[in-house]
Amino acid sequence: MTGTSPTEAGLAAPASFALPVRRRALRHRVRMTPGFVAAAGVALFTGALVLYPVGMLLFGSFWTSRPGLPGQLTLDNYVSAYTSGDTYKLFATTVLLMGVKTLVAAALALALAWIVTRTDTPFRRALEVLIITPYFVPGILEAIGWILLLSPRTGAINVAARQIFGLSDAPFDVYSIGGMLWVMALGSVSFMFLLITSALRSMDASLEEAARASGAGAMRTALTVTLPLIAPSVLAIMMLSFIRAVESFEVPVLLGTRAGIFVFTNKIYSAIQDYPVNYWLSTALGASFIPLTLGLVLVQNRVLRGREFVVVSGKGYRPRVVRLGPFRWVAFAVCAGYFVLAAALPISQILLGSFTRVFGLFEPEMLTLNNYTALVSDPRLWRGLTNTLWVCATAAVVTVALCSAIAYIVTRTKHPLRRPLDLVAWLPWTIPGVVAGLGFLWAYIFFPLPLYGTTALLVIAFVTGGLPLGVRVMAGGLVQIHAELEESARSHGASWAYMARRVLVPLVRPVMAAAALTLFAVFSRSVAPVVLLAGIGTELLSVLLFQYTLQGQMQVVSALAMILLLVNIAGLAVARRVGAFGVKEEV
Amino acid sequence: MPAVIFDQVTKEFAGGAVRAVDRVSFEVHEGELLVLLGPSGCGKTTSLRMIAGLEEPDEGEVTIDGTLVSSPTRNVFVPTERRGIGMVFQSYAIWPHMTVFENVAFPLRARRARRAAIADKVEGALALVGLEGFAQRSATQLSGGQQQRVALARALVFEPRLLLLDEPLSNLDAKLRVRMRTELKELQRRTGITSVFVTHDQAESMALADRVVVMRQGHVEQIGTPEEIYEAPATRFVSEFVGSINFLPAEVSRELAPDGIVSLRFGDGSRAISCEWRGAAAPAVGQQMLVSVRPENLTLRPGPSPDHENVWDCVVRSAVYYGDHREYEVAVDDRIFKVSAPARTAVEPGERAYLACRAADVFVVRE
Repeated sequence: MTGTSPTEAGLAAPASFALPVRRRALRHRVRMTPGFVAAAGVALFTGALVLYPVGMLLFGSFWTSRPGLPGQLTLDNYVSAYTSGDTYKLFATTVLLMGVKTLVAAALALALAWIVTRTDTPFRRALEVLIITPYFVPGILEAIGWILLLSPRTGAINVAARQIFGLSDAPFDVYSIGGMLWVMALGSVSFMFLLITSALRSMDASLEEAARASGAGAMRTALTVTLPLIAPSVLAIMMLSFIRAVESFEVPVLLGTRAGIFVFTNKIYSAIQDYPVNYWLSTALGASFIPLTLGLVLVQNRVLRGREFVVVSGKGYRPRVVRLGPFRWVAFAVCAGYFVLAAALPISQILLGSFTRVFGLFEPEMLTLNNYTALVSDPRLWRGLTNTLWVCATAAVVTVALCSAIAYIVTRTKHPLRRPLDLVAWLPWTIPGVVAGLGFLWAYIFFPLPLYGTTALLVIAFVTGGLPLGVRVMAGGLVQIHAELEESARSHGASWAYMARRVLVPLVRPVMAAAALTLFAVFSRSVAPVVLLAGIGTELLSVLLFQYTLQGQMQVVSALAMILLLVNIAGLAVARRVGAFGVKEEV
Repeated sequence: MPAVIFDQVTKEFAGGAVRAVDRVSFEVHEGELLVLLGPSGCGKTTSLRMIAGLEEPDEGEVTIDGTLVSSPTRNVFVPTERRGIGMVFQSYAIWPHMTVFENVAFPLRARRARRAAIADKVEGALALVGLEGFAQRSATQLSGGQQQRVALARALVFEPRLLLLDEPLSNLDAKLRVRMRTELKELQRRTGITSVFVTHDQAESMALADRVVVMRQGHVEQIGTPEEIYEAPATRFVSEFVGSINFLPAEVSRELAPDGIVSLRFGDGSRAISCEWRGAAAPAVGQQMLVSVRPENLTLRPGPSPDHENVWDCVVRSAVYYGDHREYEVAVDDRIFKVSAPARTAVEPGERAYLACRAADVFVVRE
């Protein structure tokens, strides 16, 4: 189960989470060495971690009463859910909204990627960095920023429009289909741009040069050679983006619920949060969601057919650039405009808001530090901050340790359980955060150990959700280390443990550090998997931010958002540094 | 007693779909340098890795110095680190996070040697490979040849009973490869360490080996000294793999003579070739066999030769000058022979000439 929805797990590097490749099983004698037993232990522990909550959610969807209470098996939950027209409307809204969002975002991402990689647009290196920046902004901040700008009553743009044009009604309403589309599309362009750029870069430049040499102009080359060649990649990227959108949580809840627009995720959340609590609907929908996303991911993998996108850019070659003439400033404006809308504007609005007394009005006397001092005196926020630091740090370290072991077993051994282990560690990738949260709730509320209501449960949720990203990054790190470096240590007298301590760990340490910091950033921003688990005493910054936004306490929200952003950026910045300086070439 | 006994060993990959090594047996004698030679995928590296304990055999037994180290049937498997070997890897496998000293000291430290002894032995090992004064260098600052030497020093520092080398020279450029080859041979002679060397380069195997095991598709084709392998290859594969060669299908035309010469017919039956018989049982008249002769054992001359048992008139088809020699293609009737001749040979394409060779240089090979 995931503590980290794909939306969030996608954060760091993994452009795709390909299904682990099937290999033919080896006929291998089983030797009960301590290493074999330890590996089996890791596999069983991981299996329990992932499958227990999934199993409990499935069980819950066939149970007549609430989690942990006496009841009996039934099909009624599904019957009720699927005989209601609302459910089908839910499907339709989800698919349509997210489909349109993906199409719009893909078109823009494709244009931006082409501009940056193939034209003579000025400052394109800087532009590339700017376009990627929104990718690192937590999704919830994107939503908050646009609420501050476009909420009907106090949104800055609406207030300004009313004052300037003397309108009586707000021209924009963020709490609408249009608002959801706007915010989600802006947020996902960056992610798709990152992947499309690398697809464009990895393309053989001579294919385009041949078209130019054959007399095709720049536009003809782009449309008849470049586009068809990267079409399969773009299709796969779009599917990935679509899956992330279907699983997204914050925007539907913060913007959609209020306007009565329901997709899968906010419906599930509303079913448990609103009175009367509707457990049967939430579990039936949540359990149906798993095969749905699993199916989508499998299809996406099929489209990808084992190809993966390498985000690391640059073979050092620069394809011939297209001269845009005066239009290059138009291209520049489009790129810069995207950055302003997707990052600069919402973030600066949050920053401004965090120093303002009342929303919508900007006058010098409105400036204040009260929003921050209010944070200092609020014990919930202090606990939220300390919990976030401790829980996310602990979870990050534990995840890296566990994932290192899993990655080692999967990539370096012939353990009979390595294939199931690989699969089970990948499974959380297909489970949306809010469904995962539901599974954890159901699984641990009456667990023999009193985990429910403790920060330990938050750690468990994060670790489980962090598995796919962690295993992926660690396996990538291990692959970089030539097997002979390990074999050479063993053949020169080192036991496995001595080899691991002296050779393996020192060599993968930079990757481990980068993975831990990235996971920390991912955990610290995630809402969906823990929103149902964090309560009094176990507050997390991200969850508090989410709840305060729902309650409309926007002054506190913007100060809190700035703190979350800082925590996040600090984690990512250190990760980048470690990654950049630690990994030696050709190891 | 042989230092290594490799007995009927089989290794399968891909769930039994591929037999990388199929009932292979050979022995490594005390103090010798044995080369495992063959094209890629022949099972030579897998065999070496099974001696090292980096792979487990599926069948058969491996014994090192009288100790059984691998035997699936008896459930014996001594892990790599307890086999007391030194090994040089194709990629050198120099740990990039350690200095030269730390790399070379590793086998000693892993076995908890005393500090004082470590410094002495590392110094000695570095001196042995000509890297005095490199101890404190970072391993990543070394050239390919230097890394190679560090790998060798590391393999020798523990004074192992067995040295295993997996294509150690294949990543070096051609000139350095030849130099390292000579040094390696010299080092092995000096230390007398029993060594197993894997390569796909036949020249390397000839230059280094005391004995060669030629492998192909998981089987042993021939085991012998370099001279035996080159001059008396047992099979067509071996004869082709270790050097350029001419093959000739022929039919025995007369019974084996008392002087050990057998006469055969080839072409349309009018051409005769004599060959020194090395087999046990005498060949029967009318028997078909494949005879072969190496290009450098063929002589091209303007007139007939009394010194050679075999002389045929021929037409020169092509000539290529290589500086130190010339290579010809000549036709005896419509059969083409490759000839490697001294550079001073003065025959031009289109000319008629005589092709000659001694019966001792013609041999019969198995298909």
